[in-house]
Amino acid sequence: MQKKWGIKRIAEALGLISKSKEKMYSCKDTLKSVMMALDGELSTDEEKAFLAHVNHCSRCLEKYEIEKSFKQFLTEKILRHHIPDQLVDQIRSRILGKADS
Amino acid sequence: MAEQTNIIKRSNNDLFEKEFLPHADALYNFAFHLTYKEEDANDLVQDTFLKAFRFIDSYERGTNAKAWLFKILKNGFINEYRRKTRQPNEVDYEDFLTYQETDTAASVGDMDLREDLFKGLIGDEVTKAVNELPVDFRTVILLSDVEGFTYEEIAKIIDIPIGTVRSRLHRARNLMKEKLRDYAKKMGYKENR
Repeated sequence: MQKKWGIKRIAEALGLISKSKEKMYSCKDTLKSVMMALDGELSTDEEKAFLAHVNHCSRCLEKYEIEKSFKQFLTEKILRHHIPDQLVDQIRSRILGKADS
Repeated sequence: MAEQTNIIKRSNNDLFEKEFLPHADALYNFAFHLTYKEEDANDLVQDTFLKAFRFIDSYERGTNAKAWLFKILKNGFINEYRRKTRQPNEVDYEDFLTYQETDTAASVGDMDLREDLFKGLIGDEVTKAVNELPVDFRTVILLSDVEGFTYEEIAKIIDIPIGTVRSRLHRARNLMKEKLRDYAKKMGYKENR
């Protein structure tokens, strides 16, 4: 069983080791967070840890960017149907016309 | 008394015009992707606005009108159209989906799905792929990727837990990838060039 604390852990806790966050935030954590990150669903702290890792890990960065591109691609390519002006007018007159009477 | 009623009417009309009607275009787009038909989309959007106006007192001014309207539309779709079109009840996919968080990234690993391929894919194929998804999956893609709703908003709109939104969205995107991958291959896109 692992010791509950070690010199390194304490040094991390004291902020003596600067890369502590990245090390604690592994590639596995990053992969789990990719979707949440690109959907803007991570908390501020989670996002910080995520970005700190991604900025130093090209593999995770690439995965993140691939998924992000894919989301943007869907957003851009799914056809948008626009409401005909006359339907808006019709709704307006049905509802507001009725409300006025 | 009549004076007072008029003031309420005017303020409701104002609310309708300023907070509800601006979402008509987004609602119409959602309705169209759900029903596939212009006529049904028209009816669904009109019904949504009629209901919204009827229940305008239960809407809290300044809160999320867009999510509220989407919820009305979605419920209207379930109650009227899904029954009418006699689609079999959508099973709860989550029941037999084991959600592997890590395969978001892994699933694209076997093929480079980046720009060069993106550019080659025409919008029609993507729209076709999304329209072929079972309605529950289609819905989350539309709400998240097209409308930009948060997981929490989506959870409220379709009455499912946030964790389910997440797993459903994950699955929906993977289904989109599968469909588009098949299409890309058919178009002669070579893997591992």
